[in-house]
Order: sequence, then C-alpha cells, then structure tokens
Amino acid sequence: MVVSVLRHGLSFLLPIIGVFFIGALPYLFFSNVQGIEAVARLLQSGAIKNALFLNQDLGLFFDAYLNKIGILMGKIFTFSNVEYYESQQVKYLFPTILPYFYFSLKLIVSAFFLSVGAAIFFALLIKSLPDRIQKTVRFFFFSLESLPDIFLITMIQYMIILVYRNTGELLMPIVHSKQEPIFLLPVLCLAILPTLFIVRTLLFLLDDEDSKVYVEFARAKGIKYSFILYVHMLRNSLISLFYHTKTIYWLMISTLFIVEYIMAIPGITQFMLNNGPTTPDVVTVSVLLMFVPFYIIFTVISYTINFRLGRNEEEAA
Amino acid sequence: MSVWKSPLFLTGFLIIITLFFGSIIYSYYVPDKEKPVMQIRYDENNTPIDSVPIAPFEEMPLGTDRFGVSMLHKVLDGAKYTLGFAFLIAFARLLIGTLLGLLFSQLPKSILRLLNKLFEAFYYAPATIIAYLILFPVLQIFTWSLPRDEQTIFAITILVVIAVPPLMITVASETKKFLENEFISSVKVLGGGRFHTLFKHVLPFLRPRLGILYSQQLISTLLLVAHLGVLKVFIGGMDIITLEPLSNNTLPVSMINEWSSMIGAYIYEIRGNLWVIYTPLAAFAVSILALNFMVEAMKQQYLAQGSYTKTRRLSRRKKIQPVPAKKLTEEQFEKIMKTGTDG
Repeated sequence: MVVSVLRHGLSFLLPIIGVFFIGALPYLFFSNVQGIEAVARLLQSGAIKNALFLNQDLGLFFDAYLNKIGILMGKIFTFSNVEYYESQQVKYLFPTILPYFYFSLKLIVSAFFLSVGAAIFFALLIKSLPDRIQKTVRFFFFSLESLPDIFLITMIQYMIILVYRNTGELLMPIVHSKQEPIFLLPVLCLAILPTLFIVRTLLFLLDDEDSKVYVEFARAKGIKYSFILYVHMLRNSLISLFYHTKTIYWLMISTLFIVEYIMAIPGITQFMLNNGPTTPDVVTVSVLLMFVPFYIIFTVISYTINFRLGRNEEEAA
Repeated sequence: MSVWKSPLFLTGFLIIITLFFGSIIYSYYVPDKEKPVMQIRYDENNTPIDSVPIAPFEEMPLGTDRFGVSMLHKVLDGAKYTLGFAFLIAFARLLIGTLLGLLFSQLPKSILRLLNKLFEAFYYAPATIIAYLILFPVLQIFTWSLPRDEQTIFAITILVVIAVPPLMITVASETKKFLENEFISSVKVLGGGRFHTLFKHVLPFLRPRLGILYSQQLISTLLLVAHLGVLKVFIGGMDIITLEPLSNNTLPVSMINEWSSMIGAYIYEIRGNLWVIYTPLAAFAVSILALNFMVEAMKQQYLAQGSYTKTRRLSRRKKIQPVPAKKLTEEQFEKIMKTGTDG
C-alpha cells in the first residue's frame, strides 16, 4: 500500500521536476549565463548598443546546471518568492506575474471549451452527411489542419480589416490595447487548430465505434442510427478523446505564443519572452504556472475514469 | 499496396522534391548575386508609377520587398535552405531518437515508466520558447564571439536535442510493446541475442512507423523554425541594416533567403504590404500540406495492414444486402410444403 502510494506520488511529481530540467537548460550550454543576463539587462535598458565584447564558451556544464536546478527547486518547493529583473530594477515575480497569467488562462480555458463544443458539432455533422460528401468535407478539414498557425491568424486579421474597409464596420478589435481589451478574436484564433484536431480524432474514434457489436445490436432493435450516434457512440468516444487532451493542450500552448505576439496581448508567453533572456527562472515558473493546474485536473479525471471503468493504469496509457 | 502507388503520397512527395531540387537547379542558373531587382516601376511612357515595395504584377509575379528584390526569387532560392535544414534536423532527431529508444527499451519497465513521466514535461513546455531561450543569446547577443558556422551548427544541434526525448520515449514504448510478442521468446530460445532481436526483428517492424515519424518531425521542425523566425532568431545568421543612421532606425535582415527568417524580417509589413509576408508563409503552408499528405497516406496504408476489425460504413452497407427472395409458383410452393425441397 505504502509502496504503491509512494510510486503514484513519484510518478505524479516527475513531470513537474522535468519542467525544472527544461527551464535550466541555458545553464547547461553556456559557461557564463550571468554574463548573458547582465548584458541582456544592459541592452534592454539601452545602456549599451551591442554585445561585441562578451566572451562565451559553448559546451556542456553539468555542475552549473544541476546546481541551478537545486537552487530553483529549493525556492519553489518552499514557496519563497523568485526575483526577476525588469526595467532596471529587481522585482518579485509573484504578484506581478498573476495578471498576465490570468489573461492567458482565460484565453486558454475559453478556447478549450469553444473548440470542444465546435468540434463535437462538426464531427456529428460530418458523420451524418452522405458518404460521398463526407469524403470531400473530411479532406477539406484535413487540408485546413496543415496550414501553419501564423498563416491562419494573419488571414483572419486581414479578413476583418477587409470587412472594415468595405463596409466601414469593425467586427471586433484586432489588436489588444488597455482601453479596448481584446478577447473574442484570440479565443477564435486559439480554438481553430485544436478544433480541427479534435474533429479528426473524434471522427476516427466514431468510425472505430461504428464497427462495434453494440451499434449493430441497437440497429437491429430498430433504434435510429442518428440516435445511436448522438447518444451512445458519442459518449463512448468522448472517453477515449479525453486521453488526447495532452495534445490539445500542447497545440494551444504553441499557438498561444503566436497569438499573443501578433495581437500584442500582455499574456504569459509575452512575459516569458520579455523577461526570459534576462532571468531564465521566469520561464520555469511560468511553465509551471500553466502546467500544474492543468496537470492536476488531468490526473484526477484520468484516475476517476480508470476507477469507474475498472481499468488499470497500463491499459489506459 | 505500396505507399508509392497512393496518389495522395505521390502528390505530397512530388511537391516537396520539386521544391527542393527545383530550388537547387534554379539557384544554379540564377545565383543570388544576379537576383532580379526592380526599385521603380515605369509604365510604357517611362513615367514612374510604383516604387518599392512593388505590388505583384506580370513582370514581378509576387511583387518585391522593401529593397526591390523579387519575392519569387527569394522564395525559390530559399526553399533549398529551409527544406534542407528541415531534412537534416528531422533526420538527426529520428536517428538519435531511434537509437536511444532502442537502447532504452532494454531497460526494466519500471525505469522506463519513470523516464516516460519525466520527459512528459516536454509536452507542456512550449518548444518555441525553450528554443528561443537557448538560441537567442547565441544568435543575437554574443554573435561576434563565435564564428558564423559554429552558430549555425549550435542552432541545428539545439533544434535536434529539443525533440529527441519525446521521440525516444515513443520508440522505446513501441519497441517494448513489440518485444512482448510470443515469437520473440522463440527468438531468444533459438539463441538470438539482444542486438540480433533489435536489428532483425524490431527495426523491420518499426520501419513504416519511422517513415510516419520522419514526416511528422519534418512538419514540427518547419513549424518550430517559422515560430523562431517570428521571434527574429534566424538560423542562417542575422545581419542588421541601418536605414537612417541619425534616428537609429535599423532592420534585421537574414544572411540567406531562408523562409523563416524572411517571415521574421518582414513581419512589420503585415498590415501594409501583405504579399511580402504572405509569400514565405504560403511557401510554408504548401510544404506542410504536402508533408501532411504523405503522413496521411502512410498512416492509411499502415492502418490497412495492421487492423482487422475496422470496416467502413460504406463497405458494410454494401455487404448487408437482403438475400433475394425466390419467386415461387403455387405448385412449387405446395411441393415444398409437402416434400421439403423444390427440386
């Protein structure tokens, strides 16, 4: 019992420890990170124009790397504040980072629910189309998925501008400003790629359900196909879809950064990009902030599902 | 059916190959020194009607950038760099990932699971930002303390290293699952060693999957490089052009016509001269689409080989046709009722 609890606890903590290993990577490759930080700070404040004088060796520096990880872990696990550097002063990270974090969290959560809802709608719609049209529509969705996110986002922005030019009506603001906070457009942009991904996965799962015996049995009982699709097949595939949440989250995080960059949103990735070069710790803390709540929810839900379905861990993974 | 007969795969493959080799041949005939430049556009009466950046028209099919260089030339010339980098990086990722994955699959299952959990963090940390954090100092801050080729090698190394752990875990768990097959114990009984098993049995099993993984890695490399380009981390090296010395108005430009650095260098054109930024973006979109075609075709083929239960609704509907009822005359019917046969 104790061993099992320990093992589960360890496997729960390991991904979080992994984040520290990733965040401290600059210390592994550069001999003189303090030098880089100092020069980056000077460059940011405009005191110097270039960094031609800085001497730096590339290599693998395991001592400094592990040392850094140890220090940062000590700080985080004892809940003490992390310092960072911004506009020529050393500040505490914790009250400052929260507004950025909340903004991004708001975007991510809304985009997640929007994309799941839209994806279920589209998947069911495609599934109830006649077969010949279905093939074309599936191909169209698949091709859309290949477009890079920058392309899609700039396209959407440009379309809004076009509408504005032709009709004189601004559908929604396209760039963030303090007077006019932007919300709808980034959520829309963030939701597109995950929606396409979920549609594809859900269709795959639904196709798989199609060949199962209970569908045939229900059909034989005279239940309408659409009813089986909307109720039973959908319910069964949503459980399998849950295990793809990780990929959905990953898709969103990588798009989030482009969205925040292009629309000038003061979000967490912007914060990371602005302060990461001067203080690498910022990246570790921000990634942890984004990751830990999601990870806890994911773990709890997957344990619940496994428990209720009576599966053990290995089958689920 | 071989992948090479699938039209979807062939389309994608041809597009990628044409882009890559076409670019090499093109730059042999039109080297970058003789690039087409047009700074002012005149009409028939020799009156100037347009200046840089010139919008797309017949002579300059995709328009020009701020310095009057044809965008078509830049994209064609840059294809070999971007795709070449991507081929190289994806190949190195796959090679290292597979070898390490095969080694890791020999570890006990409990350790493998722990490593799996540890490297799960790579899923949650945005790769772009991690790569930026490491590459930004090398390519932008202490650019002069390292030679240019060393910088490029370092950039490629980082882009490889960043994707190896997840890849390694994928390969290791696939291999582990495969090694549980019954015939593997026969291999052991007949005297096959570990390396014999790995190279004679596991690798042939992995090969179709490695094809899929390679194309997927190509796509993720292209996306990552495009993102880094937006952040002005240029793999081919960066230079800075000063437009007005007095107001310190500078522009970053890339040393080579690589697509991602074109995106980064022209991102400020996004609200004005759209063709300048959409040309490299469209090039990215086309190559990723082509690669996705290949992945999809390979996946379909792989699934067709591997699964026995999956049937499509269409094919099933054809199968379940009602058995045609025999038309019987009254005599035959009577006969059947009496004797049990109609013969």
